Amino acid sequence: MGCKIEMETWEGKNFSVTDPKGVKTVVYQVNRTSKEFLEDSPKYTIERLDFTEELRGDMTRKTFYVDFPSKDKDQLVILSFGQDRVVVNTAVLEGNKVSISKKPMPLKFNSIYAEEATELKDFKYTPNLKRPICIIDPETTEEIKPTLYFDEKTNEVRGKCKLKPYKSYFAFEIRDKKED
Amino acid sequence: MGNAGLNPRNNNENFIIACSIVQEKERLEKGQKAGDATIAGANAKKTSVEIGEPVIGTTASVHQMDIDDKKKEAHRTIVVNGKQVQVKLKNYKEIKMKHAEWKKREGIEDKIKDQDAR
Repeated sequence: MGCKIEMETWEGKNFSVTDPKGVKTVVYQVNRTSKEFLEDSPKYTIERLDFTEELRGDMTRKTFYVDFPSKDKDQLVILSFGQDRVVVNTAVLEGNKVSISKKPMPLKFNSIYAEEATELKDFKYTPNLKRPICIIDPETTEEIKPTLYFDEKTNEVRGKCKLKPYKSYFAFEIRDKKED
Repeated sequence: MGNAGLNPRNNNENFIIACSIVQEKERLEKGQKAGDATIAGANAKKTSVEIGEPVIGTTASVHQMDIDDKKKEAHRTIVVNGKQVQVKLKNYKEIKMKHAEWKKREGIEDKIKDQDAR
């Protein structure tokens, strides 16, 4: 009589950071695309890490889960959103250690003059699948994900996403250092 | 922005995070074309962690993941207040797909699915 193994188990890795009051941190894992897929895909893709959080007084301890860790190293992007700025940092997960760069980079939201934002508007654009750009609402830290549709007039795939005019959003992409 | 890559990574290469604070104007003014309504400020670049760069270290722990194909469920077992808690994940299909990609990427062989009882 045969028996089937229908459950697979493996080990993921997790690490924690502590956010002070008013700061929300999100973490992305950076993955490199294999050569066989490079024709239609970007060289790097990112994946937002799932997390759990625990309140500790005025601070929040966040645990991020790398459910599919590499045998060697995993490259991470750490974004910490505060009231008037976002701090961009990088880290490497290797073995049982996360090494976070000591040179974070802040960007201020008021770098552009902002009129009062009005209601949400649909902004249409032609996406470049070889160059994905991630847009994040700094207030909610949620990604603004586009809806793709086929435009019969222009015969191309287009995207539209809801943005508030004149509101500051954080946008980023991953580029190959050699091609920059 | 999901995974498209399946090959083992070259972990010696560096990448750049190019970022900016952006705003969209409400409408295009006369003479402007698509893209002109985007205002980008505070453009900046941050490199991935380079060899020899000063870093702060923190510890990573291990947690258990599992996929149950019979129940069509995926779980993550985490430690809460010193106790192990199994959390059911919402996106079983996505986890299963990523697991398959991960195994291929890391060169992990499939377990034998059918075994004869002896």
